Amino acid sequence: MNAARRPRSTALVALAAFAASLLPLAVAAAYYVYRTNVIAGEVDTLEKQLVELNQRLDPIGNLDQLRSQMLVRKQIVDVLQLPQRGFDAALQLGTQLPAGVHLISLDVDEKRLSLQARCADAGATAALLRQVGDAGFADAAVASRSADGAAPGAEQITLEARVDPARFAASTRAGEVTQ
Amino acid sequence: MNAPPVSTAARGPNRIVVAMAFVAGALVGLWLLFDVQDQYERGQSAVRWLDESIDVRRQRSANLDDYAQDVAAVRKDLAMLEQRLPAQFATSEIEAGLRALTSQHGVELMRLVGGTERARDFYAGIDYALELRGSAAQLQAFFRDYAAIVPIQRLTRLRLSPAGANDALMAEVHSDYYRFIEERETPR
Repeated sequence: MNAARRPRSTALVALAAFAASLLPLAVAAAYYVYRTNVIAGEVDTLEKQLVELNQRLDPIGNLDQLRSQMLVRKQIVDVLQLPQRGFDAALQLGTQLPAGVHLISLDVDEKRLSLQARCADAGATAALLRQVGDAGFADAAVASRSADGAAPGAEQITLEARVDPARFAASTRAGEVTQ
Repeated sequence: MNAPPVSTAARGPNRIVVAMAFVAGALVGLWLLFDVQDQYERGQSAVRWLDESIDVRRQRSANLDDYAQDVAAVRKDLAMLEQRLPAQFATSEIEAGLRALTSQHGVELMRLVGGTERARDFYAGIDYALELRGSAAQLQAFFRDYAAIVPIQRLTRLRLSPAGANDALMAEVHSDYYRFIEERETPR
């Protein structure tokens, strides 16, 4: 008889322990459920008020919506209209080469500049290299050179340089300070 | 002499089972509590947001003239930005604008080809390839004004080479024109 009662008493005590640990938390949860229901009622009332106020304002225009549309576009425009100093400098360079330098071609994209030219002598090549560096391009170097048969000492060169926006910005700032 | 061994059944309820039941009850209770607490906090946030929105709208309703002025100012800014970054490409307008700008600076427009549209997160770009011929001064003047034309565009590639006599230059230009992608629009 004792052996038959023992498992039941374990189950009952386990159930009591389960309830004992659950009950205080369940009471706290019930309080939050009650508060959530109260808040749901409040939300309903506030939403109605908001709809009424919006109905008065919407015929004039939805300022928040317009402002957000405007800001999204402005952020994109601000990025897209950043100055393209590499192109400006390349154009300036291609149209105002040093004396003794004859342009064959100038290629520039957002990262690199490649310039092919015929230089009358080594001095003209050096002047061109200096001008490319002064224009704001980084790591300017002669990538290839070959003798130009037109005149003694003349050479045909390919000059490569890197478009470094930070360097262009710094040289622009320096120019502004000088002015 | 030795005491008889006590059977496990005689020691009372199984303590491990009881402890596990206690822990299980606590876990269920905590899960329940955290769940309803989360709902309560979300409700509170909604009330705070609604309160703030209502306050703002009450202030606006109290002075409708000021509100109308604010709306008009934002509409004006938006209209200017829509010119720079339109929702749709007006291809014919872009091409007409380019032709007008080249003729204004005496630059010959040898070729003008529009590419295909490429969409990004919030905007799309379309590539235009132009071939221009003119003097160094003409091209410089053209590019100075080209940077400011609408819709907004960015140069992606430029190639300059001599174009025969009179120090004329040939400029091959690749330029991306941009448009805004509306929220409701399905990205391509």
